[in-house]
Amino acid sequence: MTTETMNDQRQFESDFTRLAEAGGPLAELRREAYERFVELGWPTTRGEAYRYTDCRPIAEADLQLAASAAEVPMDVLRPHLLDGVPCHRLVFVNGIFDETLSDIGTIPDGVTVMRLAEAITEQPDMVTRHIGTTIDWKIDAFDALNTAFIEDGLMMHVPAGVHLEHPVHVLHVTRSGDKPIVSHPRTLIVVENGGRATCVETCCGLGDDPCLVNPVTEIVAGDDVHVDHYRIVREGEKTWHIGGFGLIQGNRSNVNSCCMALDGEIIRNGMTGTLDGTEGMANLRGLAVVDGSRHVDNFLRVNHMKPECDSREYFKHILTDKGSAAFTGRIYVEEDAQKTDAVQTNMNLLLSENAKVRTRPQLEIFADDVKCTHGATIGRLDEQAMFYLHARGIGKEAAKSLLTFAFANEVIEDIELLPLRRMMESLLLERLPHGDLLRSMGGVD
Amino acid sequence: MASDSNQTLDAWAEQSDYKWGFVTDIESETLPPGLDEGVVRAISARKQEPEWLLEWRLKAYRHWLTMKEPEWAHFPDRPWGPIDYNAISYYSAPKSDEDRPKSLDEVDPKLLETYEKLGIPLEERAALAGVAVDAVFDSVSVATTYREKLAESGVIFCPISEAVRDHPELVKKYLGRIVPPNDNFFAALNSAVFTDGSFVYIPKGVTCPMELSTYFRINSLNTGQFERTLIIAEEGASVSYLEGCTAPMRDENQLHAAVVELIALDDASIKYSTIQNWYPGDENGKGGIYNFVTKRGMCEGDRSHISWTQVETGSAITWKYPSCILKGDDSIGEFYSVALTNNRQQADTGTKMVHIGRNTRSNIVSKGISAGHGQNTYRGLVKIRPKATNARNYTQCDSMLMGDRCGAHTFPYIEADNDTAMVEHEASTSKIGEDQIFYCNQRGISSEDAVSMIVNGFCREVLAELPMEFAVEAKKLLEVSLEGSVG
Repeated sequence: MTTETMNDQRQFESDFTRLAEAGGPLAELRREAYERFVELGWPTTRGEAYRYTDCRPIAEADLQLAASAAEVPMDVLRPHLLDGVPCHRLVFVNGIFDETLSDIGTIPDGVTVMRLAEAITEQPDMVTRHIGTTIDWKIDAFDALNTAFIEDGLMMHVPAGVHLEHPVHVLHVTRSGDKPIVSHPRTLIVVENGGRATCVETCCGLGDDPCLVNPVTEIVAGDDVHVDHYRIVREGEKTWHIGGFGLIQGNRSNVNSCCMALDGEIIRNGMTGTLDGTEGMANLRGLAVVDGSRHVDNFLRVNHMKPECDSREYFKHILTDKGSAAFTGRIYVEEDAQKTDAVQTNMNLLLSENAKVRTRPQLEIFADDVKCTHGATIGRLDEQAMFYLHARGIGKEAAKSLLTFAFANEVIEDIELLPLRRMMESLLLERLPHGDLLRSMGGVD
Repeated sequence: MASDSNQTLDAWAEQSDYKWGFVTDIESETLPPGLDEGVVRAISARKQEPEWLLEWRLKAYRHWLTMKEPEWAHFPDRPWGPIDYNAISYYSAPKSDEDRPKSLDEVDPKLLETYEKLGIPLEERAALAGVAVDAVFDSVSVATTYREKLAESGVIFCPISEAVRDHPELVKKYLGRIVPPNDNFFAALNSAVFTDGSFVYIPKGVTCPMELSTYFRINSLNTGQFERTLIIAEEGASVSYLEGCTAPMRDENQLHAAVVELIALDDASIKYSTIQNWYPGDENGKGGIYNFVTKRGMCEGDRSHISWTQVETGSAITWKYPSCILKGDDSIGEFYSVALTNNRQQADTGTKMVHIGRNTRSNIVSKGISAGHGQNTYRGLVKIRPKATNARNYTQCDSMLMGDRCGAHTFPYIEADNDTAMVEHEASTSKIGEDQIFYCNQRGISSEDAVSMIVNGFCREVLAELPMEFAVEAKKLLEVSLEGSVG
């Protein structure tokens, strides 16, 4: 990959020096990552990884870590909470833990759900053993930047055989101000053999000033593990959300991860899944509703390292106004990974003439006994389906909404966490014209 | 997998002797190896070119000096050493250049013999199939048949160096228009030092009375070949052009950097078919041709049609992306490809379809077969520009893997800037199943025949696009590439 130095990366120097002085078990990793970030520089569109996402506005902004937590009333947070299901809740505002808004509740014996900052001091071995193992921060500048500034976030550890009953909900709230702020929340989820857990991440923004949210989430799943992970991106109008996600799976493990990109000026969702045990299953899904002049970039890589694993990538983009979306998916199959079954799908629905789509569904296969397919489509709503509905007395706009909802719902309908699914459905309906009509039509219950 | 069929498939990976590897012993008049402005001037002088072309070459050469060699091949099996451009001789012509043959009878019998060994009997082919052949032996055209018959209908089919002399206005107008000299590293090199190639001009409303064909062949040690082909189809014209090639066995890597430009005006149609079977190197990846070609067609006029068909079985490394720029409204671009890689071969091929005009359509079918340590890559771009309303594209990339050390890769790029665009991309990867071989064995079909049958079935969609004689040759070629390695 060629990344070209675009600007002075030393803008974070003072912030980093301050952090480095604190020392701790991650000091070495942070320093390496920082040096790597300076070396890589901000990604440019001349490199393959960020070919379709222009990071110049980010590079040019004078970004700073938040000095102190901003005040956020509970009422503002409420629409982002899951109804009717008890959660272990952690809330961070501008990257700083907010005790009053958080409600971690009772954690079962042996399970860890705590701030990463605490875990670094209390369980340094656990943290250092796993952190940075699922992503390659040496090749991605934003992952390197996050790693350089690991300070706080969520640490989850589920011991062997334990099923964590309630979901963990972590909210990263960004309250923008006069100065562009940056936060680098880190989430580390370790689930030991036979464990089970669910984690929901919400990244939400208040205020319309520019800022950068650069979260990285890592999941380390052992054998026979089941993990559900969701990330909902509802940032402020001028927020750049450049997210990283890393996953490594053991034998017979089953991991689902779903990313909903709804609000933010630029939303990048980088995902790397590595199937490192036999018979594993990685199920990565994403839905993006891209309106205004938003840009969404889903950038995925799935590594099949061991035989008999399955992977599914299912990403849908709905584009209106001047929205633009990019998808890059690469299925990589090692020589040893025979009997791999990988499916990759990217579908793009264009609802306006100024929308733009870039898609790169890629396969890189070094084993012969594999089943790998990928498909990408770009198109408008089906004229015949529109006509069908029209002929049955459904107005043009309502028909359009109905078909668009149906398109998106294929990603949402598999969400097992019911309150989250309801939330997604209603968010989707809000964005469609005549959404209330759809609701009353009983298409959505 | 059953051990029997395992052996069968493994055996595929084994190298069959390259039948067509031999060196013709003809004294060549060759420029000493090396590249500088002097060489560019010398080539131009020998070709007695006009001043404008020399300037054009020099400009390309100067630009080439500023360019960086691309490096994408990331497969560790075959580290691609840097090409020493000063070790290549840029001009090589058979000795009899001063006294060029007027007809086949006058052609050096040794040359004819060479073609004979290649299985391309010129007269026979010409007579039986009605094909006019512009055979390129190294860098100078040595035989052109059926010229008169073509001339009757106004078709010009001649070596490009002749076209520069006889039809300078056409060459000047179109040369480098589709592939500008600064397009890419290898196109720039070609523009500076191209020695020969074909020129085709089909006048308005004429359907070319026969299929045009040329055979390229690399001879003379250390001589890269830099052909330049230019095909122009005027309004309503149509032509089918065939290109096929084999090369003698060599231990040193040879560079081949050709440029092909096609221009189709209103209602014109060009069909360009290629069979490429250059020396692929031995089973350890020693030797073989580097085939870095720039091929591009411009559907300039409304309702024009350009179709690329290729069967790529040879060369150590192939980088080739025959493309279509669909500028005219309702124009159509097509790309059909079969690429077979065995042993240590690498093929990185695909197409670019750039939709600019309204109601433009493109169709891409790519079939990759990898055996041994072969690496096969489809790399392509489908671009729908903002004004290309109602553009349609359908892409299908299928890969077949034989053996557990080969690779199949797909890197498509799709960029759509218009909401009326309909783009579909599908790809799949498969292998020859032991059950399929078993089924055939049960019915008395040998494993070798079974594999050949399955491969042919896999490629059928593409082979069907080839003109009949070529389809036969292509089928044979696929078999030969796998011959003696099964059972």
